[in-house]
Amino acid sequence: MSAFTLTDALIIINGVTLSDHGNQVTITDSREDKDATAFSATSKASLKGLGDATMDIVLFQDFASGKTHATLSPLISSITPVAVEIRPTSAARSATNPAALLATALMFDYKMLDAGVGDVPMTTATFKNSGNAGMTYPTS
Amino acid sequence: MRSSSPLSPLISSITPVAVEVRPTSAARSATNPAALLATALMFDYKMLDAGVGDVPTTTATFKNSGNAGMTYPTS
Amino acid sequence: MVNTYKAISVVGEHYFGEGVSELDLSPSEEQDALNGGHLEIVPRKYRVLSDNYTAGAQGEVVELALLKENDAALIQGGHLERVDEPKETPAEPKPAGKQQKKED
Repeated sequence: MSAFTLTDALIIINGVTLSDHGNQVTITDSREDKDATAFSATSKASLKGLGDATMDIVLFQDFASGKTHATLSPLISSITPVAVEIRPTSAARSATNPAALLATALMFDYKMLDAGVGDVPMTTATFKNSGNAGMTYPTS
Repeated sequence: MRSSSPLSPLISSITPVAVEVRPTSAARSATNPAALLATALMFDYKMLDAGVGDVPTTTATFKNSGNAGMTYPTS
Repeated sequence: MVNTYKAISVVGEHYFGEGVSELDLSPSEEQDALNGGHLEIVPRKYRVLSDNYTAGAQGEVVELALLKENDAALIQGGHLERVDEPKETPAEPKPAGKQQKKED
C-alpha cells in the first residue's frame, strides 16, 4: 500500500462506530527510556521500560441519542475499561489495514463543549491503556 | 506512510535492531558514510497522527541500547 | 442495576451463591470477581436501538455479556435496551364450574 490520504478512518469506541463524527486521530505507543549505562561505555545506553499507550480522538460534538455526547459522557465517570479501535480505513482488518486496538481503555479527558460563538463544537476524547496488554495491531 | 508492518512489531520488542541512515542510496564510502546504530530500540511509534484529508506520516524514534553508540562506517 | 452472574469457583459459590444469581455489585466488586475467576457474566438479550452499534443492526435482538458500567453507558447512550423475558408463572387452577342440572 503506498502513501494515502486519510479520509475513511474507522473509529469504534465501546462497540459504537463514531467515524462519521471523527476529524482527527492520534495514536501514540511509547516506552519509557531507562538508562542502562555502565562503566566503560562510550555512549549512553537505553533500555525500554513500561509502555504508555494513548489514543486522542477529535470528534464533532453531537447531542443526539446514540451520537458523540451520549456515547462518551458515561465513560468519563466509569471505571470499567472499554475497547477502542481505530483503523486507517473502514475496510476489514488486514495486513494493509491494521487496527490499532486498546482492548482495555479508560477515558481520562472529556470536554463536552469547548467552542466560541459561531464555532462548530469539537470534543477530544483521550483514552489510555488500563490493562497489561497495551496497544496491539491486529490484522484479522 | 508506507505499510506499518516493518515498524509496528518493534515498539513492543526488547531485542535491539540495527538502524542505518546514509546521505544517498549509494554504497558506503568516505563521501557517503553511514550513520549506524548497531543496537537500537524503538521508543516511540504513532500508527496514525492525522486529520481528515491529511496524508498520514509517522515518526519512529530509535535510541541506542548498546555501549557502542552511534558509529559512522565508510565501508 | 443488577446484572446476572454465574459462580465459577468455590470462592464464588461461597460469597455469591451457587449457580446463576442476579446481583447488584459495584463496578469494582464486579471487576474483582471476574478478574479473580469467581464469577462470569451470563449473557442477556438486548435490542439494538441505534444505527451505529457494531454488535447488531438497528432493531436486532442480540445476546451480550456486558460489564455493568458498559451496560449502563450503552443504555444511557441510546444504543441498547434490555429485553427481559417474561418469567413463567405457574398455571392457575381452573375454578370448579357449577354443575348444570339437566332438566328432563
